[in-house]
Amino acid sequence: MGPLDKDVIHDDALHASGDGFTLDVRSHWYRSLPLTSLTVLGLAVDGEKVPEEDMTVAVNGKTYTVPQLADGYDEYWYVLDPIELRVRKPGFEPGQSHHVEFELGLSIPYILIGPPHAKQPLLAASHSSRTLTCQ
Amino acid sequence: MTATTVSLPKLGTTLFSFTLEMRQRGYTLEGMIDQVAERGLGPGLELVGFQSLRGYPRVPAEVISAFRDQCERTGLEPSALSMNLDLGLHRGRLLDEDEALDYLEPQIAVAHTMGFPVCKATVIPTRSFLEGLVRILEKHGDLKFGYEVHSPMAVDAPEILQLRELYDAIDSPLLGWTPDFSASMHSVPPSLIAAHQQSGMSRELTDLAIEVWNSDTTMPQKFERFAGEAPALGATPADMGKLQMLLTMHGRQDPRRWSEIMDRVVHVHAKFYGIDDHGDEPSIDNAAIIDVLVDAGYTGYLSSEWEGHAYTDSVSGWDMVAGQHELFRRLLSERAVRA
Repeated sequence: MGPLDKDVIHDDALHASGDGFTLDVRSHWYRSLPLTSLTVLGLAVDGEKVPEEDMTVAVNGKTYTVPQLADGYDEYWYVLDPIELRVRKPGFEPGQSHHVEFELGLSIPYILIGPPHAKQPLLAASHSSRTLTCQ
Repeated sequence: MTATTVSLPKLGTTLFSFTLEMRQRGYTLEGMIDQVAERGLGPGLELVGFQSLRGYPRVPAEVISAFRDQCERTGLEPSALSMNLDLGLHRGRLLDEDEALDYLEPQIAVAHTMGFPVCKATVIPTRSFLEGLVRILEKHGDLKFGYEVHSPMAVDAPEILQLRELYDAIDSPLLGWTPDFSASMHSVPPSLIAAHQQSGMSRELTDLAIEVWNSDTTMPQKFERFAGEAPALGATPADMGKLQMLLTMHGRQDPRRWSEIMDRVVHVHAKFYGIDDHGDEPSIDNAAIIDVLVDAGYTGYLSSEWEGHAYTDSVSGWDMVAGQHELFRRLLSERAVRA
């Protein structure tokens, strides 16, 4: 939606990790959010969708599966820290180019929309499409 | 005839204006606060807790004392802490009243410890919630609370009328308002239209947006007209989202109507979107708003809130806020002469 969308995936965000890769992801929202806000982490690499169960998320030195994020109401993603998506997938070496498509959907817990009896958090989505050199 | 002295509002800045600048390499909170002081953008200093403070609302004692020392050293005055009531904290349900008060209390406590006289957030609009809120505010140094009246709200929006009644019924000096200038604009910001055109929207489409914004119709009617006419002008789903945001984020309340709630105003958000070649804000009648504030005897802060960063990174937030301060100094001195 705005200039911060460009900040989500930096040029050096992709790293080879031995058994796969990691991707550093930055927030496109202006404030820190609880982990429960991380509702969409849609990742495709070189045109191939990464299943949610192949992914873990590292925040504040802790690692979560995607379903575990739903219980993370007491842990915040500080606005300037990248979170790290860790994916097991062979074939990632430093220096290689890979195309990354990433959909980040943040549920904004203080902006509620919808009819009075059925209000729910706004979903702020950001889409990134980048070709990155693996670090 | 003796000269009358008139009490004027003070200037200030919220660090939210520098949302993009804080992403730059080398950013530190201390460095940013020093810049506010060096550029003369105080004395009021507002920040968003969840934006500026790591670990908020659990802020280490040494961070709090460093903040207080820095304000002392620079002459900046903590004006308001912007908090958040994250009612949608849990997946699939909203916080109930007790949980919501428990969520706000540590934020109110840290606002007080940091030296802010005012805090702001949304509320659950019930008497029991507001009474609970007052008890917490009293416990933490009689901190004042300023509910932000922000577009698409206005002083006469049903939600605000309901809160006005509750405020009157409870009649606590701690419950107040923060008018946000986004609610009382006379035009769509030219900088926003330019950004939308740059992102590929046609002139016809942005003209339609402006026409719909200017029409005396309800929000659902505006949305409906958009949905009917915009696709034929090439609007993509992403464009539709942006244009609906345009309708929501900018309101057309008459600035003079702020007078209706001035008796409980505790803080002011001087929202703005650009400064033109003449030094004026092209979409907001700041002179009219300042008249209302001065007439009501408001001597709190005009907290400059540059929000153009939501759609453009082509200008510096620092330059924008400096431009608005210059405008305010001119308008306030003109007003002082007239008084």
